[in-house]
Amino acid sequence: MSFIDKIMKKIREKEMILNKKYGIQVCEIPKLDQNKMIYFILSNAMINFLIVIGMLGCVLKPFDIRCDYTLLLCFGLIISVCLAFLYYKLYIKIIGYLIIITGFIWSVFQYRYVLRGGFAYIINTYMEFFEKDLDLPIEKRYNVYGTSERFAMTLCIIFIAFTIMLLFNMVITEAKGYVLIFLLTFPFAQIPLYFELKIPKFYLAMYVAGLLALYLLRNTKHYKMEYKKKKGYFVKIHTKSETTVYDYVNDGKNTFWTILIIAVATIVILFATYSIYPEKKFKMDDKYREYRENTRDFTKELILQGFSGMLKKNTGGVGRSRLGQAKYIKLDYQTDLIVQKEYVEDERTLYLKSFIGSFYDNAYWKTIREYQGKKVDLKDYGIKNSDIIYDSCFNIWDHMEVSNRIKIVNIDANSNFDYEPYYKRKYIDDSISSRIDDLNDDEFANPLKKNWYSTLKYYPLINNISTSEFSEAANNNRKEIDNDDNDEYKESFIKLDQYSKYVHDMYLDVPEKNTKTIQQFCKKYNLTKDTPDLPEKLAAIFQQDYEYTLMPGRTPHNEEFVNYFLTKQKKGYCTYFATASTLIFRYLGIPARYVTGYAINTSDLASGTQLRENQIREPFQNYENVYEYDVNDSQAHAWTEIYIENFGWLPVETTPSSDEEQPKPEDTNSFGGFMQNNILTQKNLDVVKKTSASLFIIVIVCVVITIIGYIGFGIFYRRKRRNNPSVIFQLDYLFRCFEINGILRNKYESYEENAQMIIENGIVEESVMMQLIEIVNKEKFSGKEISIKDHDFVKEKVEEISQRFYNNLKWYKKLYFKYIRLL
Amino acid sequence: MWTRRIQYLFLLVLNTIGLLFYNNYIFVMTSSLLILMPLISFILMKMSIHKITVSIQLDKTSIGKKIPVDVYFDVKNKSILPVENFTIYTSIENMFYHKERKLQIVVPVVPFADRIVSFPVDSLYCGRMKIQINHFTGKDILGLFSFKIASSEYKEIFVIPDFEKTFENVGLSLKGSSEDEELQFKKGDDVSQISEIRDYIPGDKLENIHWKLSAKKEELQVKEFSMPYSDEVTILLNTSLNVDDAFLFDKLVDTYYALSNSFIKQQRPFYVCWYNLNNEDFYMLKIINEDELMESLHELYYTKLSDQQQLTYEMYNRMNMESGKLTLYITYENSSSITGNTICTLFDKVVVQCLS
Repeated sequence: MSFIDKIMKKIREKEMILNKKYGIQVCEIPKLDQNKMIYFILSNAMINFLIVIGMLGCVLKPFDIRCDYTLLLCFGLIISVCLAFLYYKLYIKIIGYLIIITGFIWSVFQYRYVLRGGFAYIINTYMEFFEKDLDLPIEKRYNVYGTSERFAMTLCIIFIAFTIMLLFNMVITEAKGYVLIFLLTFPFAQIPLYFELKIPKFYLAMYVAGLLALYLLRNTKHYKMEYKKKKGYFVKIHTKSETTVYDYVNDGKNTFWTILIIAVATIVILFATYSIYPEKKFKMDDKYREYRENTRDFTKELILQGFSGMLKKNTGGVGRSRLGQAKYIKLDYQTDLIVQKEYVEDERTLYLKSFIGSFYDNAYWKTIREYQGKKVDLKDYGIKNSDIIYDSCFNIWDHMEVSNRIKIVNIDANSNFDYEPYYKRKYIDDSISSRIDDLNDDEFANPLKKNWYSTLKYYPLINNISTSEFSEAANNNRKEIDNDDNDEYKESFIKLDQYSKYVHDMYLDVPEKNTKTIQQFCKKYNLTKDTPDLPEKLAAIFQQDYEYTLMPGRTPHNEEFVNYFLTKQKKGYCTYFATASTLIFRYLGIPARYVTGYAINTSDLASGTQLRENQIREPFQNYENVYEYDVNDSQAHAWTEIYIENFGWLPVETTPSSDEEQPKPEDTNSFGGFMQNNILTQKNLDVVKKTSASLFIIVIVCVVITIIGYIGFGIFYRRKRRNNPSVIFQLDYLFRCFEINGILRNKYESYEENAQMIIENGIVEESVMMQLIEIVNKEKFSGKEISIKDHDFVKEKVEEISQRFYNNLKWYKKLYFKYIRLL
Repeated sequence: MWTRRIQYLFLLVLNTIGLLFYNNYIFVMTSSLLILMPLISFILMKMSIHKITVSIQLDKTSIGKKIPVDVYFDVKNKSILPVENFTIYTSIENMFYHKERKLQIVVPVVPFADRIVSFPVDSLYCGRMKIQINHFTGKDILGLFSFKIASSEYKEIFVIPDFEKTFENVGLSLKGSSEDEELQFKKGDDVSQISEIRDYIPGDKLENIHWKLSAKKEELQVKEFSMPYSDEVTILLNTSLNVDDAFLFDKLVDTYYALSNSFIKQQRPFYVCWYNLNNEDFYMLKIINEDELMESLHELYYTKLSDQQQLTYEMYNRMNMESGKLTLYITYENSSSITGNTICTLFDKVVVQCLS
């Protein structure tokens, strides 16, 4: 037995009890005459048509999608009616859906090129808009297959309308599921709002009317299909009052009229509002736009990353995924590292390197260990990794005065890497050299796990030295040391020479597929190995002809990352520039490596938090000017390091500076963070306050209109009552007046019996009241018309008595009398 | 209705949030729509509700027990508005027992049209069944406001007792003698039937002398007419409700109907009599044929029943109604101790007693 059958059985049992108790039984469920299925079908068709065409109009017209809207309206109407007819009978539904789905598949196959062309036109139009308005990269344009734009778009939109209507038809007819339809349509219908576009009022009115009608019909609970419920009524029994309620399942005509009235009222109200308070009068403060911009940024992020991307928790730093696959870089602004160091004046950008890419292979930077191709071993050159891992060969710089200590704490950075500055030395523990000989040249000894820290000694680079000056200084230094008698330094340089050979054999590899492009690039910009200050020159080229952006778009699958970047895309972020630079340097014969990590630039170094004396801990005891820096994704970076003879690896910056402003929420990953940073910001709260003032005015205006309307209606209603020629109506009115004082009229008693209580109230004299009743009874029962004299008498007396009654009322009852009961 | 109001309020709140956060003109339009819609809906409904009338129609005016009568509710709407959840609050009541069976019927009301809802109703008990519309309510198109209109429209149906059980032979003897015996010795002045011829006794009426026979016998013979026995029988019905089972009265009426029919079939005129609490007097009618029986039923159905089971008998004794005649008292079994002999029973707990 089904659930419904069980309920029905229970109801029947209850009815049997009531039948027995009262001795009266309703033998059959009531039947309605004239309940025609055609109206029910037309109602559903109308709702489907209003919602789908309204929504499509809202979402297409503002973006200037050039299709034939008249044709869309006509076809929309025909499709909605045809689909609604599927529910005429159960077998029609089953057969109809089978035919329609078959036809649907066939037509998709048959007209696939036109449809694809239409889709391509539509998507291209949207993409153009997004590119312009949201500053999003267009990755590709879709092929339109040479079809006529208007024809293809119209056909495609009719096809879309058909598909949506097919889906909605079931929801509307069977369940009037307004929530589902609202959730499915509203996100699309309101898209133009993001872009400050005007939604066409006609389509908006259609959409709103359709939704409102759907909502109301669902709530009336009279929407069930007739063919499913054979009987026109269903039964409920109120156990407490022992009342049997017969509610009808549906009535097409009623539904049809309801929708018609709602549609007409909606259109009239919307157009009246537009006439009285046109859009040009609706002016917002510029501050109001801030929230909208935030919303647009959110939308942009959503378009680029999707929901999964937005919810994905990222660890800090530059990732190691395939290059050119991220459309958009998301910065989480959480602290990745905490760096403490002594402040050094004029210090150049502090690079904390974490990953060294030695080989570029198919848009990936690989380490020596990962790379399967040609590679050489450090040992073949008579040096060990321990000789260079801590830049020991640079002890040649020990004689320089500027050295510094640094403490790096990993908070949320990738714990697979170490984070080390250039020209470092282990400060405390230098005992790991025994095993680091097994490491490759591009590997670090120990990854810095989360909440771990490392303390190092390093030699900061000082500003304002060009690469050629640097190179020259290094050569001079070598000459000085060569002339010196210090054997330790000489030994270091011998190792450095060996390492130089290794580097030249190892880090000049350029993949074949990139050679041609890089060659053309170098030719175009006249770059050679001997170009003075080559890194600076390259940086200038990028600054001038290339664009820095965090939204470069994906590299097409048939394009090579570096080639595409250098020749077509010409925009990207640090990994793009660093990769291209590394290969260009290599092509020109300068050993270079791709490095990622964090870069704290000079201005950031100057703006750290100075630690108070009591905050200074090991290894900075007895140090002054110790600064702490919160390092986050905005400082995550990729750069190139080139090999300088007689010196070693030197980081060079070729990534152009950016004017792009990034939103800087502290935490966009968690919902709370998102709310805090996007919704409940001070700016937004100010916007809400300001808007509330406008809203208050709107509400006040609406309330005033409502009150005026109500009072107007009251006046009209009272006048109509006064002019009513029926003396029965007039006497009934008098009885209704007395109801205010709790003198309720019993409809089943005569006027005379009812009048007694009124007479007892003392407001009306008995003789007058009886005279009135006599006249009324005369009209009611004699079947003859009463005289004008009697009529006037009744009217005059009723007016007089009601006025007297009103005057005797308390103030609040007067209000109730006049404005609530409208008497 | 409150759910609808809260839902509508929620829509307004959503719209306000949209206005605050989108700051778009569209939300100004939808705000005005959501604010003005209820106002317009209220005004239109207020104007329209009085233009709706409901009437009851029946296909029969009298029925047997458990025989359905089709009830039609004709809803006429002269306004432009469709009315949502137009509910007719109706009651069906057997006027003997004053127990209302309450029904609510929701009717779809469309503009400028009549809607007819029909359903068959039957009664398990005889009596006067009153179908009444107490009031009707209509909601505005948004379902936010409800309007109530009182109504006094009603229709009555007579439910005739069952004729399934009948009396074949009713013993009318006061002391248990047979009917024939009783009739043989009962003297009267019914000229149509001569019961006996005897010798003249001084004082006999002259018109009673059987001249023909007297001439033959050569002494005066007097005709003794039989008593018109039908005139002698009165059916007294106990018009009170049984304390244990109010619906037992139905069996009394059935018995009354069966007994009366039995007399009519035998072509015996008889009197019916019961106490009516409405005018605190006895109703009495001489019944000769079925039309008169129906008339008596009609009267019976308007009789107000008493709660005191002995009231009919007490009042009957007190008023000394038709003393000396044969009275058949239809009453409940448990109230029979103070009355006469039970001469027959047709149903459980209901007896017919012969009062002397």
